[in-house]
Amino acid sequence: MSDYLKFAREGDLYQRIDVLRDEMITEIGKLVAIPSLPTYVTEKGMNHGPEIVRCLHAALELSERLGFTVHNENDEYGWAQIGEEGPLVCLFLHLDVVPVGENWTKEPFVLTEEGDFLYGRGVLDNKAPAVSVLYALKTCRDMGVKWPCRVRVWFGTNEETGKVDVQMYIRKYGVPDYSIVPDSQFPLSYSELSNINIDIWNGFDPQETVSDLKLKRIEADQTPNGVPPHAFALISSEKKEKLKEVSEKVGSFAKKTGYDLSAQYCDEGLRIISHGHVSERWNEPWTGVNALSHLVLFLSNVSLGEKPDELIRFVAEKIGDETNGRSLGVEYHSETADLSICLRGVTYDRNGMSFNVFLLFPADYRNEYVFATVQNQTKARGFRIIMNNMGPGFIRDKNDPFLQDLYASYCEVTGNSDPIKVCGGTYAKYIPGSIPFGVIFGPEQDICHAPDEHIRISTELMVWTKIYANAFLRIADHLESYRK
Amino acid sequence: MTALLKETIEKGLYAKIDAYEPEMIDEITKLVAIPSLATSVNAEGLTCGPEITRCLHYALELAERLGFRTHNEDDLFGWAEIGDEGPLVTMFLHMDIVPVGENWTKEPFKVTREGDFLYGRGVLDNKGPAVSILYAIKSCLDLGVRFPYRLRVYFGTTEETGMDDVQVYIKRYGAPDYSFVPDSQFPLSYSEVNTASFQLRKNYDPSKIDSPIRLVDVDYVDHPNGVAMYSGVTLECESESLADETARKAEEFALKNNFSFTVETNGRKVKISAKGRISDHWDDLWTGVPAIGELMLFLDTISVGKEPDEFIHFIADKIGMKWDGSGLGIEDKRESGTLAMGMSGIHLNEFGLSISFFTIFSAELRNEFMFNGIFRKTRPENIDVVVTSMGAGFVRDKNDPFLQTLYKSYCEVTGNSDPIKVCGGTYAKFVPNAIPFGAIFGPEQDICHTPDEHIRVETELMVWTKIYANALLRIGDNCKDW
Repeated sequence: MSDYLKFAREGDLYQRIDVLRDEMITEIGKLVAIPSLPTYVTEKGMNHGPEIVRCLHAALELSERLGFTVHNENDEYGWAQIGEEGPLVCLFLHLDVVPVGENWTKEPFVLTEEGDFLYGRGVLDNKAPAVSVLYALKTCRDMGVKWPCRVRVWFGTNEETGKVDVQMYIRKYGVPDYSIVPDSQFPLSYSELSNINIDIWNGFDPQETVSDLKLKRIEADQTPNGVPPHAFALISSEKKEKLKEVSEKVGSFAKKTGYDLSAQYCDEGLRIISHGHVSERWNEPWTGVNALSHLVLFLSNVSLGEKPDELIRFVAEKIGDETNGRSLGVEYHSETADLSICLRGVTYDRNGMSFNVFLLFPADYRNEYVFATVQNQTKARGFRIIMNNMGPGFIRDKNDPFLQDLYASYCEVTGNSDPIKVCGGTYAKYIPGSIPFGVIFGPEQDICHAPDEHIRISTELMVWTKIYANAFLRIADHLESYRK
Repeated sequence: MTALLKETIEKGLYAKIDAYEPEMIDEITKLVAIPSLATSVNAEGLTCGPEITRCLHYALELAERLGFRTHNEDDLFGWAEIGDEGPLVTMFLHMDIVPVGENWTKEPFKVTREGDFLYGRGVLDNKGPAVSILYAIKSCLDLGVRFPYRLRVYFGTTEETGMDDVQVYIKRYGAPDYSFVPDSQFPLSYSEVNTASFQLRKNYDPSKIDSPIRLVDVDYVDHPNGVAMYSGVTLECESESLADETARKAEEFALKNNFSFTVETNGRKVKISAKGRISDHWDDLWTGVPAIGELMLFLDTISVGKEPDEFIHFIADKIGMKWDGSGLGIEDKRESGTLAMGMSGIHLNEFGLSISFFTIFSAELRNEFMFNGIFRKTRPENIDVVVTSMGAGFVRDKNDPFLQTLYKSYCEVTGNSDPIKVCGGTYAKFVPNAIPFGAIFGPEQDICHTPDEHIRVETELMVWTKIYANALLRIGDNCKDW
């Protein structure tokens, strides 16, 4: 067994990293300056765009400058590599970003340095971690480390919109022996949750609906973290007094429940408006107030015709304002997490009505079972389920020596020993055996996709780089013992 | 090590079992005489029927007569149990049956014995094995065996219609320590395949399609094996001459591709029917010829309007006659299964055109990955994926000592040592760590759900009973070490 880690940390490993601070910031700035957003969908079903390609080129060009050999796979993904033989250790990063959104106080595509902060879209998710990993690796190499393996820094282009890139990569090149995904939290996660995104659909022609009260529209705001903060329904009727009744019901229902529901007359009839608020995090729907749930709970007391009523009442009864799935029969608790459910949206058009539902649950509750339970409830009512997405979660062995080495590096560099975690949706779902490792410290903050996305330089960027360098050395020292 | 087993065999276990032959046949006859078919769906969405309930009651009554304690859980499932302590070993059987269907030459609900054969609906699936298990245990008890574990024989009621009963059971009572499911093949299966049934649907309003040729009707005959062997499409043309021309094209296309089309013209309407071939087994989808695939390939050569054309082209291009998913990028081949997909139905209604698929694939390829592969192709085309069912397969450790114990009993009693298998859909999908163990010998024969369902008495029923008795005793000898 080699002893690179001891040699490096007794030498000037961390000073060498500190010296690279300005160079790393310059390189992060170059990547952030490329607004790598998807603009079209490729034949392979991948969201892509010219700026994403440009950003991939820039990352590969940087890697080459730093002395890595590089590979570009049809501009779909690429990698930088050290070492020609032995087991493959792979770090999965991505260069695409999420849309800017509103409420920025900084320029999203110009890296702004203010005090210890760096601001810019993608700075945290996932461009600075990419630069951090490259410089950590370069530093180790410059100190003379000879890995008994190949180390590959992989750059994806489709992380935010489907993760097709990594699935193609795994299919073509196989599963790396050891994989790290620096796109989550420190210390690391041994498990990711599974998820299902479905539409529960009742097919009918709204124009054929017979009812005194006609549902003309029903809509809810879609937000990245799921809980609709606003929703409304538009109801018309030829009978004025019917609308008045509904309007009064809205008032008494709001009073009774405390929901923020109101009714407003307009040219086409009566608008019922529901307000809530988004959840604090995308995986905690219970911290939000679901405006759509409240609207549906109200509408289930009104008769809007057979077909709309069937679905609205089902959703009110089986989901309603719950986030634990109890009434739907999918409530589940386990060591890793509890199941959560979120009513996310509604579609009402010539096909009828459908509600979008998102379920997030521990990976020991299989997708098939969750689906079957939901299907049993919907089937009995004649509704169908359109599957939009299924996320395969995982639970890794907490005692795996590779995982434990990553954890040891985190603990050594930070001096902390907070427990390992369960996280949400990274590339790790699609890479058997991979470990989400870094980069956010502390409880997950939804700053990745938020306005004024930022990182700190001295307490984040530089610390990450030291943790990764430490981990690379530890891997070099221990790799041969992992398989035993 | 195998004291209990050795001692019991020496006391005359197999002769004891043989002596029960007439009684076992009599009890199978009584169970088969109850046409335990699902006839309704209750408020909780569970299928049920008065005859299923009657059959469950009879099985519990029989078990009581044989000396078991019994439990009935709201007529949804029940069990017979012996023993008070130690780990719980459970065998999962079911009392419901599939519909009779056509082409019987025997009475389906009156057991007929002809030579060594017993005929009747449910005699194999799963009433014969249920009686076999009960008498295997009874024979041991008669010889004074005290099992060092609790032994439970579970009787389900919705195995053929969704397996809700066993899911409720596991939720309420937890997974048994060890379990097996005598509803598959011998020797046993270490893996069950995943399955998925879904529709691909192009959302459009057929009444708004403006095209010289329009698709106005579709039909098909489905088959439990998952490939529709017959399908038809009716086209309405703007003129009789166009109808004639389209009919001619269809005939030429069939001739060129060696497809079996029947083309009928009626004024401006053309009906094209394709005759494919069902697959040999439900898990050999590639042995079938998809009638719907043939029709899609033809329709892809003409135009029936923008949206249907897009959908038909997608289906023809990405699937067509291919059964391995390669056009969708989901082909997958492993020891525990090869992905296969069959086109099982076609539907045209006010919401557009859709095609139903049945897929089976290794449990190592997770349903999530299989569907994500499909989503990748359907999303850019705005094609919906309506999922109707997903089967949760599994891969168990081949070296698991419980599994190996069952295997040894099979080998010892039969003198065979054929390799362990991968099977299809049993209760084991919903029971953590359960092993499908029996009762069909040899390659799976699709006789469970077919006409003239039958078993042999000497070479099947009596051998099963000896294998199960042998296994239960061997478990008794080994379970202390697990």
